[in-house]
Amino acid sequence: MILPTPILDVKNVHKYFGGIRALVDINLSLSSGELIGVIGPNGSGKTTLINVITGYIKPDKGSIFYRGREITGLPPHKIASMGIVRTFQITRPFKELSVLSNVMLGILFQEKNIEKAREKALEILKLLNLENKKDVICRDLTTPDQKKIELARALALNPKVLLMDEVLAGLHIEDAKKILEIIRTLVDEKNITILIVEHRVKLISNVVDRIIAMNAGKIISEGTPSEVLNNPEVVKVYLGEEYK
Amino acid sequence: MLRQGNKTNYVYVFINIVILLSLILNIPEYVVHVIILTLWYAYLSTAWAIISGYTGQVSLGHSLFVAAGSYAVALLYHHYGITPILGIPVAILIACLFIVIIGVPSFKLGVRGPYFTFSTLAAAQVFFYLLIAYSHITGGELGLSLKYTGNPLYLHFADKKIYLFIISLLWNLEMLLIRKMIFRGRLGYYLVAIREDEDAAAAVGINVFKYKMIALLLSGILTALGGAFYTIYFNYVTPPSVASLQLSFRIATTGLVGGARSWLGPTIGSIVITPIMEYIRIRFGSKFVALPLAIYGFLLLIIANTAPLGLARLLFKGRDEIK
Repeated sequence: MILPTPILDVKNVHKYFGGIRALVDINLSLSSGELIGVIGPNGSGKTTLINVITGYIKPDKGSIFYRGREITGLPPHKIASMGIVRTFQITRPFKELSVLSNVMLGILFQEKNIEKAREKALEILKLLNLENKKDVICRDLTTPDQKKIELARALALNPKVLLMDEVLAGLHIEDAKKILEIIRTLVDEKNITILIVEHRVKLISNVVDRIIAMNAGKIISEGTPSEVLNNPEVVKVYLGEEYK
Repeated sequence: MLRQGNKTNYVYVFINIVILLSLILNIPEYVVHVIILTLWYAYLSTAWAIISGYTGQVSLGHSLFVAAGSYAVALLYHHYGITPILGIPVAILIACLFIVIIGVPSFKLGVRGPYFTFSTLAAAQVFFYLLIAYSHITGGELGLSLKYTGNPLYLHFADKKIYLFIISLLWNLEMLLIRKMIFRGRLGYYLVAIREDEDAAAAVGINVFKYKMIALLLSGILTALGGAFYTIYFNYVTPPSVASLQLSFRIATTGLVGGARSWLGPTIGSIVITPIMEYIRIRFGSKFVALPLAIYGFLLLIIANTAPLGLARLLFKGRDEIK
């Protein structure tokens, strides 16, 4: 399943917060059109990894390459405009804005014409079955819908790489499955590379192409879902002894 | 977000008709003066709202820009006899300097919320005391009383209505500029995104620093022009009248009362507050010096209770509002 051309390369990245080793020697290569799941217990460095890639945190050591070009240390808006887009763990829609405006904000970045931007935003909302909620103010939305808005806004930027931080957390299993379905379609049809951080391993294991398991800032296992989930170390630190 | 409403347009046109009538009709000079002041505060508060209301970076130091504009014009005229027409570009340059001094460190270092507010307040206070300290140049606390020539080339006019015409022109230009750039353009979307969530704004590719600077530049330059108008109109500047904390607060409260996120809000705030304040000042100001302020506070209390998001929200139900 892994395609030959890496679109994103993370090389020897280290990040320390005081004495805490948030990321230790992370090496990671994402291919274009790949769906990767990242699992790991709380505090294992998953969110930090996304923050480092998207420029919200500068790594202490190491470098990140996007299509062969180094992007380490670039500001977040630059990285976003290059096509590496993220979503936040706790959803951060622009609460006072309507659903449509939220999505338009992403599009206005590339499309200067406001009317055209509105049309494109409506297309994306249709894709996520949100078009009938376009005028709702985001603060009034339910959590699943806010998560969808987060995804819609990210898609509005026309991403090549999408890093999703626990986009399914707090969702009912049926809602989560629906969003996963959409994500899988995006990868297959639009050739977007998506990295998704998720706690519930079983939920994602039959959707993703590859799983990366992290613990204490390190990647402890990497491979197909079945490989990783049968790795004794993963079973021990993450799934717990009783999983066996 | 930027829903347009006809009602705002009607009110805007109505205000202009009132201005036009007061230009044509024979009305007492004092009424002309109150209308000029009302438009002046409306103009300043609208400029203030660009950074404080739309972008959410609340400034309590806008008197700094008023003072920069008014003193630049006054000093050049007083010391070198330079006409305000040439003083205005200098005023804009000095305002830009102040904007860079405040904006670049604040926005680069991510100074947000109350911290930004207090930075602006502190900067304005520093300038207030500098104006007093360098009294051999600025005239200190007594300020500068400028020579009246009656020469139109120095923007000295005997007829008050010409000043009314100038300030209404300034206000109209400002309103139309904001409408075009912010309410009908991408800029409005960017500013509101920054106000709502800076990190999320960066995640959709918005250069937060750049757009905060643009908002502050627009706001500060417009405010400085308002300051220049003050000098031209009154021919007299003092630190308390153009550089004080009271003025900063007055600009901010006028905006908040009217609705700092609304296109027409600050203007409505000024229409409500300025005439009342002028009346109270004339009626009680000489006998009870602090009474106007006490009444002002009480007034704010009432309005804040009945219309916490500004009078414009009540009037226009959120139309032509950056939200």
